[in-house]
Amino acid sequence: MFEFINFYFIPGLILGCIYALGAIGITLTFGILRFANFSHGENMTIGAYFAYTLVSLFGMHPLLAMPIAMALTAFVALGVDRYFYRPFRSSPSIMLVMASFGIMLMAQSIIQFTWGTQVKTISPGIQRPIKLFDYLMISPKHLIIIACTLVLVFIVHYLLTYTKTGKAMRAMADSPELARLTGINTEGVIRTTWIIGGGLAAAAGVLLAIDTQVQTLMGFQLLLPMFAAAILGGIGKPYGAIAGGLIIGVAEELCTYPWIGTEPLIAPNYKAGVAFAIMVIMLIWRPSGLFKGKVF
Amino acid sequence: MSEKKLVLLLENVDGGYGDSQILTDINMEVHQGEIVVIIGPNGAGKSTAMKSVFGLLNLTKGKVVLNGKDITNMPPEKVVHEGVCYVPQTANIFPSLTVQENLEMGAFIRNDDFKPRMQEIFELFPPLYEKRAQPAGTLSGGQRQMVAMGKALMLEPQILLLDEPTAGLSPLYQSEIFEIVKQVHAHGTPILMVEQNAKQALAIADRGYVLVDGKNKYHDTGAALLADPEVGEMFLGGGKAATISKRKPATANAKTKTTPKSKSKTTSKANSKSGIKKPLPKKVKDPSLKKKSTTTKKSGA
Ligand SMILES: Nc1ncnc2c1ncn2[C@@H]1O[C@H](COP(=O)(O)OP(=O)(O)OP(=O)(O)O)[C@@H](O)[C@H]1O
Ligand SMILES: [Mg+2]
Repeated sequence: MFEFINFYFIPGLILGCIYALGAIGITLTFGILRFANFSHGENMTIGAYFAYTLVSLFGMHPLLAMPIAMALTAFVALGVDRYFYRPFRSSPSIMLVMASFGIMLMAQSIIQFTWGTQVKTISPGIQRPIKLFDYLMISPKHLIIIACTLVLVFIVHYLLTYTKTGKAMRAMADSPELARLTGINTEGVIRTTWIIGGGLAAAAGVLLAIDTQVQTLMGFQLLLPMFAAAILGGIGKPYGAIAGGLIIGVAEELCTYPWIGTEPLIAPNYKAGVAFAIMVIMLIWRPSGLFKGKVF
Repeated sequence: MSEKKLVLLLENVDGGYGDSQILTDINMEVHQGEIVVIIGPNGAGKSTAMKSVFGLLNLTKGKVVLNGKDITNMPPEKVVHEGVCYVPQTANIFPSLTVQENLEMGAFIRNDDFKPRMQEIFELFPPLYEKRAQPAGTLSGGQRQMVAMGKALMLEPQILLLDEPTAGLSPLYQSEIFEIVKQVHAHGTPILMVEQNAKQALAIADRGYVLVDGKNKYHDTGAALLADPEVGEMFLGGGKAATISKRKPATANAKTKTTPKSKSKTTSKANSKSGIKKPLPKKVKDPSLKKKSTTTKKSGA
């Protein structure tokens, strides 16, 4: 039982936290700007590299570097929007999808060119797990990840529920056309969307880097599960994305548990397939997702 | 009415979506303190005429003037700042936002304290106050329509545009919406509204326009249009009216030459004389329609 929790459920939760933070940005851009942003993973990667740079140059603690990396990434996301997406604002969304695909490839090359392809690390070395109730073990970095996710999710919740801009974001995710007719400052909402989406992606990247390591394709590799999380939760629904991220993270890990016999149910190498399967099933069975999102 | 201030003017407006022209030479006026109703068959371009005020389609000719200011082809987000509020026919609320949040969004461009205004809206629509914390999408059709209107009224607009506010509602709610329209009007907001429910709408209207096939067909005071047998046959035949118009008489009417004149003069006299007496198309299904049209006497409002 404790083995199950320590080695399957908690790692699933950690993964889920990272997916959730990334998926919020995907679902917001999907809902508000109406396109699937393939370059979102690169926001994660670049956030992790910004943090790595701060940690290695100034010896900063990763947690201190994280907010700075988030701000820098948000700034990058705004710049990309200004020069690459804004010109396509009234174009069919397929153009934006293709643009984002191009930006993804460009960003990957720029990252490799700037920081090299060597794997780097920012985690504070080996840590002894903390024992709770004798058997429950959790490592400090995992506690950090859970705590950071809770704080960030709370901030997003506050923004969306209590601020004028946050409400306008939800309104625009409901209906961009009506938002415009209502006089909502749609460009302002779009900027906020990039700031939140980019910032959270960077946070997810830094947390992933703390958990594992920094490498140039780290964000790209999470793109599929993050999309699966956004679709599972319902497009345009940030709370759905959080739930979807946690479900997919946990599901991926639990599928490697030896439920039948002594072999993992699904070999760990194939666990990415779980996210894919969930995504396909949802698209067929309930495309609006758990939280009744948009159907495209 | 001519001495009343002219709030909104559409002058010889042509416009459409992309390449397809829908509106031809549309003229309309709304004066201070008026309720003006647009009626016409399905697909006549009623919604399109309303969208033309709101910068939602490309006007190729003519102009739209609000309180003396030319707002032709001004984008919608700017038109809102000019004090025009528009309740579209469909998708006119934010379903996942609560009722109160919908009203707050209606006040998005206000930077002052809009709490008192919201209080007034809740007084106008008591059911909304009870449901203010519920997502608007969970409300009944009539209440959603109230949210849509309340949201538009948050700005205390110079003029309110309503596109079929009673469509799809139960008779009870329809009457209620008409009551509210009257109340809003009584508070001094001029209203331009499209209605399928022509009888009730004309009854509260100061003036009405009949659009057919994207053109002005008739124009008179509400009472005069109500009394006009042709208009009556076409749109007011009780339950039948709805059926007929749903069958798209617009296509049938398409061939008829339209009223050459309906340039609305500002004087009601000119209006009532000019528009009203065009022969009706033979093709319209109801045989009684072909009877000689009588001149509407101007039943002075
Ligand atoms: N967004 C659009 N793009 C292209 N054509 C449109 C669009 N909206 C409406 N039309 C066309 O314009 C014409 C007028 O439509 P409009 O919606 O103005 O009619 P309406 O009088 O409001 O009808 P209804 O009573 O059904 O609401 C129709 O032929 C319709 O097919
Ligand atoms: Mg219409």
